[in-house]
Amino acid sequence: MKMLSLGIESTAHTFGCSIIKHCRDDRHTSGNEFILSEIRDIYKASAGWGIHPRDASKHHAMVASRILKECLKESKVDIKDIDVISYSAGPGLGPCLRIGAVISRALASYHDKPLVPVNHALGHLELGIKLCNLDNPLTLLVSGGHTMLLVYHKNKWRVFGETLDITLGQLFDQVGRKIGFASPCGNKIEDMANLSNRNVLYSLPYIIKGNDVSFSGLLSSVKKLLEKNSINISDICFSLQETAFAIIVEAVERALAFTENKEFLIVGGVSANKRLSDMLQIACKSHNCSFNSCPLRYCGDNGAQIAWTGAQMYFSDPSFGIKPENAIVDQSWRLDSVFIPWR
Amino acid sequence: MPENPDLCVDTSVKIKCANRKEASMLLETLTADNINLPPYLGLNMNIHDEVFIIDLQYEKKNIIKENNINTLINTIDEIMEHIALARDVIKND
Repeated sequence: MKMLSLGIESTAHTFGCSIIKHCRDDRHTSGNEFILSEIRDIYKASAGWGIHPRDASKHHAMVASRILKECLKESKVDIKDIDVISYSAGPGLGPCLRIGAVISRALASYHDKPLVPVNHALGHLELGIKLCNLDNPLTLLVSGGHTMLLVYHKNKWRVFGETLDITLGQLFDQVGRKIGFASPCGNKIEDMANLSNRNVLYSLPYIIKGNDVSFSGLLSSVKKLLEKNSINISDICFSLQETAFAIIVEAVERALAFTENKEFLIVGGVSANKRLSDMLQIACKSHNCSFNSCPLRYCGDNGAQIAWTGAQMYFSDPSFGIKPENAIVDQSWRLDSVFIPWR
Repeated sequence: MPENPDLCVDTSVKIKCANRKEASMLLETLTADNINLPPYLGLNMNIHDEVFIIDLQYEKKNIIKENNINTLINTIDEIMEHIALARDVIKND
């Protein structure tokens, strides 16, 4: 049985809508043909600044109607033919989350459709697994909001390791803003690092406790280096990447050794970084494990991750569909608290 | 609400919708985000035929710079933004 699912994403700087086609037995089909449309618009902060939650929410409110219209047009679907509406209910920035929730509730109420609140982090994982056609990978979620190493076991994603303070995305954003870039800064840091002649590697804090990592000391040290005018910024960015990624790769290697998992997946905005992928591929190869990365187009925040996850939730158990007046947002919703009956 | 507040503001917003279905949609859309408000804010929303009504009450003692009336203004601002957005998206199709 085929059903249509509309997903709305608005946790941080991205507002996105997507319509996907869900078949009950297509979990193990590959490709992205099931995504009928995926449209997004990204809030851009001023140079040197991060995301201002209220400004980002105003951006989302301004573009939402157009994005939804384009999404419906591209998929050639009428809103009345949608079977389920999903929205990212958290974690994320409160004002931004509420914009997505308001749109979802309005559509669900007016057109009498079931509404499914989706955990944003779970959306990254589920879409990555679907697009890479995987079964049960050790998964690294690295983005502006998350740095987590996860394993699925008995109806829940279990956190094998995570950041004790800031995320990898926040580390790059804060360093980038110090240099004068606008968030998100990951790709600009990578571009700067690629300009380094790579014969200087500054000694920076390397903190890993068990499988948990810490980047705040690394951030402070890099900021101090940036204040010294005599030091080449490209060399600092190179040292930052090498140190931060080595920490992550060590945590991944420990998890691979412990779990003996033969599938590895990286998802989230930072997964677009080529140097990180190269380092992880080497680690996976040494553990006889397949390396998989969410396709570049879908590694950042998008509506398809919400539409796909919401569809799986609803079709596995229709009680996931709730009334609009009960559809809340939760800025601190932990991924490991989500019960997963469909996997 | 505090006894003998230093500042007390009652706000009422009435929005005439196209029909009762649209007014009902606004009520269902806005309810979930407007629970667990701070004790100095009171909010009541309901519908009367095709009119959507919001009553917002602000009462606060010991008004200081950090806790001023901006909370009320920002709450109304966000509610009005959400109303405009909800009405806009259902007109999309």
